[in-house]
Amino acid sequence: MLPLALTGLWLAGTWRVVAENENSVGEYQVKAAFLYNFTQFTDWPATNFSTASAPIVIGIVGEDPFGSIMDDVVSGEVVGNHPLVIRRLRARDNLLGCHVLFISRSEQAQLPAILIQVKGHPILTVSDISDFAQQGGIVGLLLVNKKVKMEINQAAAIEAGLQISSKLLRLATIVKSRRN
Amino acid sequence: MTKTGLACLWVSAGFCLVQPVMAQDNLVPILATNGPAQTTTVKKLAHLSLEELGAIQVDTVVGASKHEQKVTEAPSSVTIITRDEIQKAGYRTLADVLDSVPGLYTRYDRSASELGVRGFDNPGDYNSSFLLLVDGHRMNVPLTGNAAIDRGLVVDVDSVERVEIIRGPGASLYGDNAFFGVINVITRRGGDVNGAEASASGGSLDSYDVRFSYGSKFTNGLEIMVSGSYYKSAGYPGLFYKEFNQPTNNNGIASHVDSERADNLFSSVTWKDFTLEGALVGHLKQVPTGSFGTVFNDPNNQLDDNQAFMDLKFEHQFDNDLKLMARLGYDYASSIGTYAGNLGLPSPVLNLDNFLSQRLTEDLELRQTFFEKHTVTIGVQVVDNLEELQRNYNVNPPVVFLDDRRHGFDYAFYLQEEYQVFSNLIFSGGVRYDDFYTVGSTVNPRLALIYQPEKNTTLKFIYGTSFRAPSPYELYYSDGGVTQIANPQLKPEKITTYEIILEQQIGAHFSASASGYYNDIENLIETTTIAPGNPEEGLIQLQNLGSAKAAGLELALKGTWAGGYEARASYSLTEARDGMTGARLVDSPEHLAKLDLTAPLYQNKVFATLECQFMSDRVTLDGSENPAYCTVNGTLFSRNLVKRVEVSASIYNLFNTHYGDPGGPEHLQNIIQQNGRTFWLKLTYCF
Repeated sequence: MLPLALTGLWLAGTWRVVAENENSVGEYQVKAAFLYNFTQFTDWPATNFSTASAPIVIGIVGEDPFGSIMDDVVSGEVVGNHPLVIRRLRARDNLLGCHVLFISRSEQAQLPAILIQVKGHPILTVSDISDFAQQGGIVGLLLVNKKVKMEINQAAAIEAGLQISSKLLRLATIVKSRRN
Repeated sequence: MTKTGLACLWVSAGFCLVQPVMAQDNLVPILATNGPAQTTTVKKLAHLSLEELGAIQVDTVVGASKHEQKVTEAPSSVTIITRDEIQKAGYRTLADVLDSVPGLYTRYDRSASELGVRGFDNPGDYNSSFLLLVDGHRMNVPLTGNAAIDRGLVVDVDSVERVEIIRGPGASLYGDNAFFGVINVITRRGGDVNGAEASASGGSLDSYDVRFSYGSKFTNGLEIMVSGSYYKSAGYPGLFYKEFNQPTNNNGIASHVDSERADNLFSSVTWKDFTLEGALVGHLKQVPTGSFGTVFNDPNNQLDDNQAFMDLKFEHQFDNDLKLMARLGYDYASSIGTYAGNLGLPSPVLNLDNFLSQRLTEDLELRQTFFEKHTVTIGVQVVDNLEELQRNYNVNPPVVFLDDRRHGFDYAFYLQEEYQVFSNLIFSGGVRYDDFYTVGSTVNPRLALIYQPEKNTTLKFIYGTSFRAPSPYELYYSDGGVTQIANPQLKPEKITTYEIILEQQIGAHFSASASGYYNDIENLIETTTIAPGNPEEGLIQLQNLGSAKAAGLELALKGTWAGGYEARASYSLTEARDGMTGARLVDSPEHLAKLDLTAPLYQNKVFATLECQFMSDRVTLDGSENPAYCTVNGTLFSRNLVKRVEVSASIYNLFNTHYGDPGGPEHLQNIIQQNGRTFWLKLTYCF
């Protein structure tokens, strides 16, 4: 029967992919890939690196939802001469040594304090806390129909002295800070 | 001459319910979180382009926050079909979507599509024993309880973001008389559309469809969506019905009387805490089956349904874990059924059913969480049935058989409680009191325990009752005794459900669920023909015909793999029998099996989906057998192969399987033949 044959073909195809990728695509695997991409589409002021080969520091504040995923993603990666390193932090730590700062959902209550601490510093703040970009963060990651979408607060990026590539901006929804 | 398509059924027109808020919050599927991350996978992901990353559907979703994690588990068996699945499988109507859902099946009589759930579909019950919501707004028509799942739905399936199917009695949890379940259609928001889309499609049976949508989310938070579509189909040029195979009936050939037309306009505006939605739909279907003893092959036999609603919702989350929801809704529905009758005059006499209803619904709901463990929801609802008009009359010579006008208020109060007993045990309970101007009051409880013995395993134990009050149509409709007489003595139907559900995440790729249930139904309202010997011999009447019992098992398996491979498979076993005679219920398949396989053919841009649906034999109204069948559908779908363009090509009933669905009491046909192989091609351009 044709349906059986088609099913067989399908299974064969699946098997091939399974063999290649033992893992399903998890929410934080995709978000980690986004974080990695952000390092390529953001320009930090040169003065923000002590040397030309100083690392780009990705900080994760609060409970780390990535597990070892972020470490796997950045291992061996170099972006324009800068290796990537991961640093795990608490909200009350000094956050100013980071280039990218991912704020975990566990820090929702601390969010205003964290944003005040990094205000005016060239730090790309990223979070999946809801309405993050509207609250003054730079990049919000949200799940829409099980897909990861970006919201970018362009004014907040300019205020931080960061240049975000138009390629990134084009794919994101541009939002403004909410005043309240 | 008689009743119309809309004509139908029960379920109380004015009840309602809803709690969309809860529904939506509860329905986010929670699955397990990240498994052991393998470097190769994440490395590959990291080197995809941002466009590709944005197109990946994640198959594991982590509960949003501590608090949300606690409420994520719906105390029900739930299936969600997403827009992505709708596109890849080429579904064109809500009925197509529901046909792919475990335990559900539809029946098409060439007038309308009707849904069967867990072995129940009373022919003659036009979709009134489940609740249909669009963004939380009740779509069951006030006067009849009928919910359109075909082209009569107010929103085009291409404007749907996802469909949530919540099985089981929803009387207390969802606050309405959802008898077998609740279907919530979530539409695309402005930000989802993000631009304009123009779509044109066409295919077999001389059919075409055009759609235009525009949506945007502005930086000040304002979100707007508007979508309109127009569908037209000539239908089969000739349909042969052996029951009418006489020279006076064109030798059984219904010639060019199968046409269909539908147009709809849907819009939503969201700003801050407010959401305003409005929609209208017109749907016209010619009836080729000679139902209700009408003149066969007369082009005048048709159903003309119109429906519209407005809904204003205010939702506010206060800082102290208090959530307020207020809603004001207006509904309008009209249905005109035209029936050509042979009264021995030179030309057929047209008999018209004219149903018109208007309803105002006000909801107020408060939800408070205490100490993050305990959530209490209270709600009140007032329904003003402004107008419920049923008329039946002959056009020429004019004779009025029925002119029934009513109005009245319905009320409801409900209380829900969710308590986290231990970190892995949730108790959920609720009760609702409803009072109808037609049939008085009823109270319905529901209790559920949700237990998570380990991270990937969830067990749910559910007990609940639900009811369906007879609608004004069921209570008061008659065509003056020509074919049908009223039964104002009808009582509400009552259902008691016991259910155990196991949901299991298996490895990284599969999620599975198994559900065992027992339904005990009393006072089931059925269309019956009055037995010989009575003065009304041979006429159709609705009666509380007694009871039915159903036990069943549903198994579902869903798999997703990187690269876009997806699989959905389900099997359901249902034993649904008449409570008194023990006979199998009409249109109740014992076995349903469904399989949907999607494979990426080219990058993340071209997908092939193959769908097989098997239904075992069913008993028809005359007690004979409607044979088992299996149909196969195939769809090729591509997005962004050419930038901004989506193309979809489908073949339905690929092997031209010859099969039928049981007819209703209004049909002479015991079995109504279904469509053979058909084609459909769709092109969409996104601006």
